[in-house]
Amino acid sequence: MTTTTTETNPRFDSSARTDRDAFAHRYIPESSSWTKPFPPDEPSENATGLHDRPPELVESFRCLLISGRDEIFEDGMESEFSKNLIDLIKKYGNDALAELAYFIVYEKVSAEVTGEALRWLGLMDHPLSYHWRLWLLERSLSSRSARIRDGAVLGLAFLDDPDAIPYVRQAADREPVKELRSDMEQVLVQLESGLRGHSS
Amino acid sequence: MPPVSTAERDPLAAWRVESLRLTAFPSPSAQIIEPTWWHDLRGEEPENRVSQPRKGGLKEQGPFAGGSLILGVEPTRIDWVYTPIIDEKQASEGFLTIGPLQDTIGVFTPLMNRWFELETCPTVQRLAFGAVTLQLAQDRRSGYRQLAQYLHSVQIDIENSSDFVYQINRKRHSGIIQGLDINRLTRWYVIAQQYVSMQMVVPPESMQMPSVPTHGSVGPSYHACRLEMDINTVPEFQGGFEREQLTLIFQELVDLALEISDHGDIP
Repeated sequence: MTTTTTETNPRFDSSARTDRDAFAHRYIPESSSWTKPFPPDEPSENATGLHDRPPELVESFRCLLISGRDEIFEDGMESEFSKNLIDLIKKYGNDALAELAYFIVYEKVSAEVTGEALRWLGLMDHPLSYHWRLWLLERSLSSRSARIRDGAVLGLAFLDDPDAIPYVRQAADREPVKELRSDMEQVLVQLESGLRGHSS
Repeated sequence: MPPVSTAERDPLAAWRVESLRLTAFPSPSAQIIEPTWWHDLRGEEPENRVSQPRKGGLKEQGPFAGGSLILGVEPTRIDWVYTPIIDEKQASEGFLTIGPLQDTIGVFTPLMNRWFELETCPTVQRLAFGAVTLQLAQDRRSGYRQLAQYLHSVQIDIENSSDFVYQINRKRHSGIIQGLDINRLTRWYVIAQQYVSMQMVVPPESMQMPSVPTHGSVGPSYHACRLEMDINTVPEFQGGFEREQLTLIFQELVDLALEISDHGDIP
């Protein structure tokens, strides 16, 4: 049997790969001077290329979200869950957000855990993941679960970004739960006052 | 900008395409349910379809214009990628590419424009055009000489250096939407490829022994300048593009990529 192989070197691997086998042949660098693995790309919001997410990330999130079910969350209080969530996002950046998006968008986790996660997405300080956190919060306003919508609007209140106004307004217009609608309207007032403050 | 003699650079057609990519980032309000886009654009079923329930994703792949067209859908992004078909023979004779840059763009862009026109195309808030291109070189030094024609702000010591990589983002304002900025990320370097062929003796499974290489041969090495481009609208832009704007913005991204391939790293 004849098998053909090519040498590989991760440092010049294509960022446009779509799966492990899509480019079975890879490139070696023009010389082999490096004696250690090439440092990974610096995380950047400007880059949009495809890359494999770290394999351990899936398991980390699964464990986090499963263990979160056993916790009792108190408003505004840190929990093991919130600390671990923030650590994962700070460690893996937007890869973590993409992973979390799966669980939240497809409602694979209990509404209570998702609501808690959303609140902390708004509270945490991590500029690199800001836009994906905002996206996930805005996206969750259209969840079927009132508890998730509640977590999303609280998260958006913490984030305090006027860019969310159109999404909060739409959500308030269609919100069937009276108390939640009132909360959304309050957040709208807060965001709009920020907009006025910004423009004056 | 320093004066650049275009006569020293190879023509645009010298850039061969390794892959083209369109990435669309859906708006928070977009609902994507079981998309049939691959079939809608090609008029036939894809060759492969992989559902990725763990990622909430879908991947479809099939032939397209002498290459392979791959659609990847995840909650946070939609990717269309045009790549070469893996061909052992072609790979052993050099680099795998789809064709010259302008030709491949000429077939990829109209297809993507048709996707923008589909009723089911979601609202998009960020758009990217990615291209990985190669320009063949005789050896490392020739590759550096070729790169030097494109990198006007960099002095490469061709004789006494190696492992050169240059990456930069040079933002531009969009000419289509006021207030929209466009990232022009590029990475330039020289690569080498060498084909290694091995004969393996595979023992019967019952022996539970590893395969043993018995004979190997090393093919010639090939060199090329490699240019990776990631031209994308900035994430700060909120609210989503109008459907009619998508074609115009995508064309703007493609034009910027062509400009870089032709004129090199310019502000």
